[in-house]
Amino acid sequence: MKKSRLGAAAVSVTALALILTACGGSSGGSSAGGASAAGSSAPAATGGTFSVASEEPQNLIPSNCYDLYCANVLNMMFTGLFRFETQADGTVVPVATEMVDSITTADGGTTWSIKIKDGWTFTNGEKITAQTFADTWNFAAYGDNGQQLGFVFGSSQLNVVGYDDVAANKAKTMSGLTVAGPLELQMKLVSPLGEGIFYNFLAGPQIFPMPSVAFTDVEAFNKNPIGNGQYMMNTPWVPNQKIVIDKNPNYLGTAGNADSIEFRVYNDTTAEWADLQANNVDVVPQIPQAALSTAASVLGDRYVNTPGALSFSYSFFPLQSSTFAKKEVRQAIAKAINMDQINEKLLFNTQTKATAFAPSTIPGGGTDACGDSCVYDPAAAKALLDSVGGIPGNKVQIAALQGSPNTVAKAECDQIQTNLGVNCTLKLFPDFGALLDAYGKITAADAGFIGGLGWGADNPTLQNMIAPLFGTDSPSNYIGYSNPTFDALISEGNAAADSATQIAKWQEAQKVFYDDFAAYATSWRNTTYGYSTNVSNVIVNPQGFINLDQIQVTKQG
Amino acid sequence: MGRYAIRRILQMIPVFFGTTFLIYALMFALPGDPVRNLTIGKQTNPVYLEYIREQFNLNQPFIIQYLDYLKGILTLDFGKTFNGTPVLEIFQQRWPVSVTLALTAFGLEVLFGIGFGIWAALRKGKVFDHLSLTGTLIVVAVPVFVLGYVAQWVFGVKLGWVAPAGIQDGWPKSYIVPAAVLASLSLAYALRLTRQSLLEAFNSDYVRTAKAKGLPPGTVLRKYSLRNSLIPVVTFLGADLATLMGGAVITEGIFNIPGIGQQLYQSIRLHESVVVVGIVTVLVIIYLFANLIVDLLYGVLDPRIRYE
Repeated sequence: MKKSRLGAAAVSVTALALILTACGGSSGGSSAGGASAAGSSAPAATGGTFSVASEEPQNLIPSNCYDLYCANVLNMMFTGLFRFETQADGTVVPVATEMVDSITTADGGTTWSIKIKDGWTFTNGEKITAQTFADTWNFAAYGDNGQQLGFVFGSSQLNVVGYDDVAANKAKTMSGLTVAGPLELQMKLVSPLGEGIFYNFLAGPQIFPMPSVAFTDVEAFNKNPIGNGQYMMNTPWVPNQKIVIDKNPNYLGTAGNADSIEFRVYNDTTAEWADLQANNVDVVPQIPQAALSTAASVLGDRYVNTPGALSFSYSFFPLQSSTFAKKEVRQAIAKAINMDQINEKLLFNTQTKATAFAPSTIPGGGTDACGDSCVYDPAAAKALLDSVGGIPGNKVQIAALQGSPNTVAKAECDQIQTNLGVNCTLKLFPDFGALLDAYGKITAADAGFIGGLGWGADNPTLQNMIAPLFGTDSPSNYIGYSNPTFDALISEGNAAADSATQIAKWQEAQKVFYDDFAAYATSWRNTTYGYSTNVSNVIVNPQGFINLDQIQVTKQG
Repeated sequence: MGRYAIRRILQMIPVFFGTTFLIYALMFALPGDPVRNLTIGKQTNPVYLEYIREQFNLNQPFIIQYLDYLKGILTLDFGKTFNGTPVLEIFQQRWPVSVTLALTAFGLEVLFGIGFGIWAALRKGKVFDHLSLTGTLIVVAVPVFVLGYVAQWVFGVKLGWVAPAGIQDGWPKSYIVPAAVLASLSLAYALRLTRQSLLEAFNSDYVRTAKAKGLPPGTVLRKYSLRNSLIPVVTFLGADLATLMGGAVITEGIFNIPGIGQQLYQSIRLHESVVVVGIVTVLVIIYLFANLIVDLLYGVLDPRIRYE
């Protein structure tokens, strides 16, 4: 279980540091207790090495990184324009990084001027200028570069002038992106965006600047990414095993606490859990379902389960099918399912019953937008169903995946059966793709089925929780919902200059959607994680990003 | 014997093409759109999806896709994953791990399976014989994942002798527990098989004759009974070596060993046809070679067997 000799050496160094602080300081407060402030200047709090359980990242190219695992690595290796921070009221908002000089708009949100500070460089010495950003974003948007996050510059988010041509490989550079000076970039958008949403769009990995070597050989860059962040990669990525990053000695902003961070690749959360119990891995950002019942007793305070992750599960109904054509039928089904009980008994309170799409960690979220339709009331549900003559054929199906336990879907089915007296069975699909294919083919004559999916937001806005899923013609609108009023309210919200109006518009859109009741959020997920006895101040934010730079190594494992 | 071996190897060529075709067709027949699966639960980027479809020929009919894959193989290009990692690179990373695990398991199987089998046969009806019978029955009855999780919890979490998961500690420390779990089932079979065929040999005429001639018991065991009784055991072990390499999906999963089984599981889930075809084809070839070696070993064990 013990690590290498190097680890042992680090133990003695830390021990020495502990002795020195004990002699020097009078208080000598230990840094135990996860909530301690990051800025505390106890010498023992910095240095050391810790390990984080991760899955194998898809890649380590910022503009192509669309999973949590690469994002957690890249957030440490790059500094962009905005990063997400949790405010005192629990909401997550984008905050400008130390590299930003100013970001302003002169014409109400259509043309933006982005100024960065002088002196920032990549770890290979290359200077970061406005041109660096322009090159990176043009690279991300270019269709044949196949970058997953290129869409951020397209119509679903920023909508930079000229994106479509670049995405279609007709131009190399977006015409809306111009370099106004060595450190000043101009961005012209097709339609105006409010400050709140614009800053959110500028906070993902796709915004991180990439050095010119990345564009000449992106394969090589992927194996050995060069960034401008708190940490840098000195040893190559060992595929399927680990990624180790070390402190960047020349970083201009606030440095991270630990000297180096090891991302250990797991394919299975059960193995992570076993390693955590043996103190063999320090931070585990997800606890396997099977361990949830015992996690609190095994880890004690080191098991954290906070409501408000930026993701939810939702159920959706094929409106075209005669089974679900009536709104009352859909509402009756929602009312007949006791989500609180399912979350408590089956998921050990790692999810929370949702009353809206956005949880309380999002500005404007956590409200009761669903209203009566989401209140569990079996008698009222039955009465509502009877009032419209029941369900044709008196049977429904809930989609589920083959090979997974489907505990929640089974419980939902049981409750529909018990509370509504409707026969309910699971309809199994090999994967979500097959589920959606079948869903798209449902016609009026088909009985259809109730679908279930999850959604994780890219940024903490109500807009990102609903617009991609339910906006007309949005590529992620799997359920085929379309309502011009909804679309209009979303766009009005996007363009609203002050955030209060913006949020009000989006909330109104959400209300419109709930009125149609084509789908509803069943549960908000919690942020659930655990950590070893070797580290403290471990916080995973609602997006699933770990505050790796603020973790303190208290004991070298 | 040389001509026989060459003929057998030549027979592998049609098997190779047959396997690639069958597996590719099976992967193609899987329901669901692989590209769509890549973006479920996050914002879909149509430009990226089109790029992936283009890159992986997914817009083409089956036969074109397959022929294109074959064309790639002839130039030693085995394709790549949706993340862009070449299959050859994956092989370089993962096969050594799986081979190490399989060979460790195989070593345990040969050593303890045959060793304990001989011991149990020599002490037929004594305590060890009964113990080994009970032990093997338990191992055969308990599913491998139960065995795996229990071993992980006992040796990794409770006793802390080895790390519960991963291969950071290298060979043998990181491999010994998973290899034991992987080997357990076959080890039990090998033990019972060795014991059984050895007991049969003990009762045969040539052993009785050898004993009657006054040969020392050790010589009788080694040169007469064991050599003859090993043929079924070798057949079993040979076929098992290939199974160990491909069948480690569960064990590799439990102990987080980045081997080929793990990759196979992932790639099937993601519909990465070229990776699955590559892995399965190599497994089939390993299986064929193992069988060839077993057939050749028969001749060594029993000189009466001739090849033509």
